[in-house]
Amino acid sequence: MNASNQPASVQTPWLWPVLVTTTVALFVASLKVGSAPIPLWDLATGNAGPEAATLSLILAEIRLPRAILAVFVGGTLGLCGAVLQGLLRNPLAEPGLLGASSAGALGAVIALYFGLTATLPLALPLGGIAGAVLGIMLILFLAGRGARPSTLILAGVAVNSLAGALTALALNLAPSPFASLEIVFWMLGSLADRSFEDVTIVLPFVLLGWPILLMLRRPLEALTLGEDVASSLGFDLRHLQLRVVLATGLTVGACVSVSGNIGFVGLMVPHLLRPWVGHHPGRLVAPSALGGAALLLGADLLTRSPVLGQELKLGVVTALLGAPLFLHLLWHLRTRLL
Amino acid sequence: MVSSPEGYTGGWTRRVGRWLPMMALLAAGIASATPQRIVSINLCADQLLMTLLPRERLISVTHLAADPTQSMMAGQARGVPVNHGRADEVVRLKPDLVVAGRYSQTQTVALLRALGIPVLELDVPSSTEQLIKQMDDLGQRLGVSQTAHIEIERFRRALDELDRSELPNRPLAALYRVNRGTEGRDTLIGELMHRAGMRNVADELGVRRWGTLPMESLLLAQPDIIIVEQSSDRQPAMAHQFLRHPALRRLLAETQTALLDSRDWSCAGPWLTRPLAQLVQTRARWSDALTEPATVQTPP
Amino acid sequence: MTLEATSINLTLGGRTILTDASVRVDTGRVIGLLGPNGAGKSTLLRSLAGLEPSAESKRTLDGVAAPTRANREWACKVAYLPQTGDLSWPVTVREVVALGRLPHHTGPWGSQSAQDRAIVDLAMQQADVNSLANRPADALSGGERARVMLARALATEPDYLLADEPVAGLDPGHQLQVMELLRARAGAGMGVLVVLHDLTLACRYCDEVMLLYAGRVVAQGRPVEVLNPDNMAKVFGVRVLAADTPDGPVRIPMARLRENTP
Repeated sequence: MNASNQPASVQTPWLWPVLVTTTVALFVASLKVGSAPIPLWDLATGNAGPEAATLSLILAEIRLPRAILAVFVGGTLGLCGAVLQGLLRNPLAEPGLLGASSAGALGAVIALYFGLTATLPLALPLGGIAGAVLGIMLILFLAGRGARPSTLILAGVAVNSLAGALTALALNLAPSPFASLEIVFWMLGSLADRSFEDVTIVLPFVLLGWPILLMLRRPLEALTLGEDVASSLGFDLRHLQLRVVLATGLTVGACVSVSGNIGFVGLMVPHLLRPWVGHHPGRLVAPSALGGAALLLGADLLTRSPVLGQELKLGVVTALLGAPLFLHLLWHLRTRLL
Repeated sequence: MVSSPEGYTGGWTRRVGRWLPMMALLAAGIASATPQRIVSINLCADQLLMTLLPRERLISVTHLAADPTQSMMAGQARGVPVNHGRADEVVRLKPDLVVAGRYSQTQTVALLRALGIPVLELDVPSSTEQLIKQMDDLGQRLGVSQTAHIEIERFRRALDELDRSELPNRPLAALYRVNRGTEGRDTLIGELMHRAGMRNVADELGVRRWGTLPMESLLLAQPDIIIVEQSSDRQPAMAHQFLRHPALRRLLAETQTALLDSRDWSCAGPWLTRPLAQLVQTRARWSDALTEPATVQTPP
Repeated sequence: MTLEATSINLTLGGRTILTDASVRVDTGRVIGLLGPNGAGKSTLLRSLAGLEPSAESKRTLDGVAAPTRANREWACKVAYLPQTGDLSWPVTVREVVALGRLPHHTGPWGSQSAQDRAIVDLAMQQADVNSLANRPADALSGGERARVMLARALATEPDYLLADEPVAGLDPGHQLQVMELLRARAGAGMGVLVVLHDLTLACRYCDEVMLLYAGRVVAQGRPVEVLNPDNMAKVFGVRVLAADTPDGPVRIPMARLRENTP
């Protein structure tokens, strides 16, 4: 892959400063940009004029939860992308391509449209989690241990197709007449007009799952040399797989239940950041969270751009960015993969 | 046609005279070709036909018409055989005429026509004038012009009575449909809002027919009146969840709100005076609240 | 101190791979594991390393039973060096060797200390891969990569090194150098179990040799005794030229014998 003669493994010292600055800048931009520009400083100092109350309401109840969700969802997708790529030793692994996201969407759809959320509000993220966990287990079963990369991609295609078909079926059979129209939301994702209610749905699972994922740094480093050596270096692989399944299912499932299926973030972010961490799979994990947050904040800003007449779906923007990258990766890795 | 060598004027009366009995017979034939067995495969057609036709000529309506969560006329539809809009059901009923919606059932319509069954397609009217014309045409086609004209007259009178479009004070109203949608001036509900003496937020957003109303835009517009579509189906869906948004709830608590039942205006017909009356009432409440700014009341 | 596994029986997919095979490595000694292809040498090595969970056997380290699951303490003491050096990402040689220090780090963020760096440098020096330190490890020749992987195993500073054909693919100079290195490490107290194909190297550098044939240990003992003409004919089906030179004993396969084609 990278045959340059430079010391490829030196971690760029300005990686974290750049990531943090970018994320913070995009977060602030998310608060300011929209149908009306919000003057944050003026609002804070009380100089915002007669519209201050409305602007404050928009800021606090609409833009803030939306930006926070973008950080949680984007961060989750980036994190899980890095972890899955490290576990499966394949740069094409990510929750979207492997079907974890669409399986999560299926679980959420069943929970919502068949009335489970009426009795238990937590049923929505729990449904998403159940779906995502099953999706990942299926992928690992089909293409986990030592499978060729092309097998992995095909397994992802299979899981995606199955989950997508079952989701369409579920929406068709759902009692509500709106259901089959809402498939667009579940397949393409959106963060428009979300509230803090959605943030509280996602928060506990992010708090549970992210630490588990961040602590996978060492086992993933060991996997650089293959499963046998990693095992001989003292890392229990079954335990590792279990943690990956659980933490990825927990976080991706909860996020998808609120945002719909947003793809390609977990593919793009680790790929872009990998050269900056010297290609180390373990060192890639934490920066990918920040990178994912930044990417989704940026994509969400694009959906609100005044250039396009109407609001674009978030998944459309990430697909427009990610699919060409996917093709590029396939092209450059084709000798290795096929 | 045979040309007469006697010249234009003279031969004309004789020609007409020769064709007159034929035409009389034709007219009688047309009169007897007034469809007697009519099937409707569209909810809006169901409701219009139930308004205009005597019961024995309407031999089937859709299952939606009999569903109280979808139709205001479910009671009237009781006892009428229901169909599900499928060609095989329709064919078995042996209708003289089938009435359908223009854009929603093109396949079924094409199939029925290929089987030799006449189909009348109803457009979605985008103004009351178009609705009135539609009712008039229907009346003629179905041979119930008298009933149609009575309904049209009643409708016109009610519209005139409820017309507040000339009032000087025009509040800004936002229509917030299920799934964050709104409608503009080139739709029926848009016209009703205008007739009720309101300005439409959709105009400011450049929406002429249908569009999305992001919550931010709704808040920024600072409308005087919010018209919320209430869906009577209680089934869970993403469409309903925007109504739970804290920002919207806060806005609704502070603004005059009209809750319109979607059964009332999802189809065009003379019953549109009901939602119009609701809008007029809401406007009146708004106007009253201006003079007594103490309380803002929303209907129970 | 001893690392041993007794009475290993392993069946995979209906085939019996190892039958009642026992192996024992003492610190300070180099044990050679020889046998025809498919005799089960790699499997025996892996079983001792704890990588064959389906092997029924008892593994002990200094009399203490081995843990059933991968374990950090065990990994600090026993290093495994597979035949093919898998490498998933293009990290530098130094970073590959540094992975050998992983068992010694506690906590999720274990990072390299100055001592770690010194040990890594030493390991690279011993395996003669210093000059490659900053090269991406996927841009190396087969022999260079093999030495890098050996350095990684040495960087763990284990009590026992289990190496599967560490000199396959190396040029003669580096073959000798690696065997001398293993000999020296054994002299410093490491126990080495190494799978070999070269009879001469086995004779010259191993304290003890085990001969494996069809999943069973058929001979065990001093190399010059085990690698006798009878065993060579029975196990490999070859006639071997045996000689003694000032540099050490020599065993060279000269001709294939018709009767025994393993």
